Amino acid sequence: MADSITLQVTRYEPGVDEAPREQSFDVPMRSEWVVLDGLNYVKDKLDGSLSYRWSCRMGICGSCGMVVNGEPVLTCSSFLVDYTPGPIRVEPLANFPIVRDLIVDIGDFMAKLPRVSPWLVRDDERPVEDGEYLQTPEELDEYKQFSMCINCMLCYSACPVYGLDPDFVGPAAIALAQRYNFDSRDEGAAQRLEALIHPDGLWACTYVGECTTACPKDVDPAGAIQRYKLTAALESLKSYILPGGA
Amino acid sequence: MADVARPDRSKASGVAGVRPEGSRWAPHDSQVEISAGVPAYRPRVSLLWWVRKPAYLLFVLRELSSLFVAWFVVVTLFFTWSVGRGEEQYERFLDLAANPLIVVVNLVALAFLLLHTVTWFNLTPQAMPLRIPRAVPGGLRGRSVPAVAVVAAQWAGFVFVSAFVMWLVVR
Amino acid sequence: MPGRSPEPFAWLAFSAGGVAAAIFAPVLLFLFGLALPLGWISPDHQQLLDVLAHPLSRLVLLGVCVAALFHFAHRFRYTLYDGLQLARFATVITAGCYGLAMLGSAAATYVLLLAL
Repeated sequence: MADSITLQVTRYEPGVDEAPREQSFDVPMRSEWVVLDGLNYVKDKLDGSLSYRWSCRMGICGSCGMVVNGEPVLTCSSFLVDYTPGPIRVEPLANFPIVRDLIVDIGDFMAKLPRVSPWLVRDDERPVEDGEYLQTPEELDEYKQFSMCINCMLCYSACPVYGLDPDFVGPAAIALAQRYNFDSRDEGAAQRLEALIHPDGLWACTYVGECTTACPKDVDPAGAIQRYKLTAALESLKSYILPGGA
Repeated sequence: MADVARPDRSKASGVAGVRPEGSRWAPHDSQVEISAGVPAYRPRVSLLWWVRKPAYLLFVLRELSSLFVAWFVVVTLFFTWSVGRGEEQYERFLDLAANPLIVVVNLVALAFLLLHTVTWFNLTPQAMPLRIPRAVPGGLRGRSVPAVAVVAAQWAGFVFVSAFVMWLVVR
Repeated sequence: MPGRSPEPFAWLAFSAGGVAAAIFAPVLLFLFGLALPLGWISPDHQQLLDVLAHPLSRLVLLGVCVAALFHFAHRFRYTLYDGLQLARFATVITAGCYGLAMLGSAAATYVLLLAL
């Protein structure tokens, strides 16, 4: 195993740089190190000005998503040894404005997420004294996969439609809508459909499928979106054939 | 922003030190916009975004198969019309279709149509998962019907229809 | 009630056409575009006419052709939006693609129902 490996890291200082540039750093090659360890080494020992997001370093917080050698990955889950002999290109997530170095502004997603009402919507809120909402294992199975989303934005980075159409709601938002649509305790399917049935909601998606490939938690947003298209189309049919609401 | 002290990178040490590199992005395709309170950089999406990754290339080829689906309709309608007009017109259709250029087009078209079929069948289990109820005995209860079974069933349908159509014409 | 956009119906037509094209298009293009012109199979003209003129053949072919045309229209429209980044011409592209599909469907109706 080589002593070191080179990281080619995007640098961008807003107001100073006209455009992002690349800077190379040689970091020690350790078999248990991930790309995030390499970045932390750079910040600790080589260049303290390098800026990037990270937190749990165990694949659950969703903070450390970046594009490594062209693929959106969690840097805490990407081992240096898998990229030998290097160099390893580390770039910020695609399709988001680059604020500084490897940090992007995900404000667009934060603005879009509430539109899908990602919470349990009830026509009637049962009082606490009535006890819990009961749910069978089968009912849990229906939505559990979609509840695994950690909002890491790798799917947005992978989605070419999101890159081309800034109004597209995007994979994670739609998958999260489905997480609640499929939850037996939820009664908000109609209101979410209203929010997503316009051309920049479900229909902009052309089923590229890269969102599912990129997802580190096996949420399968592409599958969620396609299922939603069928539901939405059938609801539209129903609303024409049965006027006055089905 | 102009007065921010730049870090003194010349003193950085490490296994092999720090090497500033040139720019990957040409400044002309920049779009600097205020985001999160700072002039953030938003690269333009290249017209050739889809050649950069094999998955994207396959996706665009799949989408382009739609052109050959339209071509298939044109061929089918022209064929049907020719047959309907009588033997002479039908012979003229056969001669035209046997032209080497047309044959090449049809070979390419057939390849793209098969690409459509393969990708369509492969995506069906993901787009329409069929859940096996927990009441059903066996190891798959509560899970989706395995993708390979859904794909195989579609191919069985394809083979059946193709064989039937061939039989109609050949008998 | 879902909003009144034609997009869901365009998608349903696209899906139906996708299934129809996936199953029927390869064998039909193989036959009409390769096997018959190149003489790998040589049924006589009357036989072909009998098969094509049968009411079931006409209906199935009409259904397949119309569905396939709307599949093409929808998919090609999005290919122009995403592949060639022409989404700013959405109105023209939409009219063009579905217009072509409708013209083709009219031609299919004529050929299959009236001219046989």
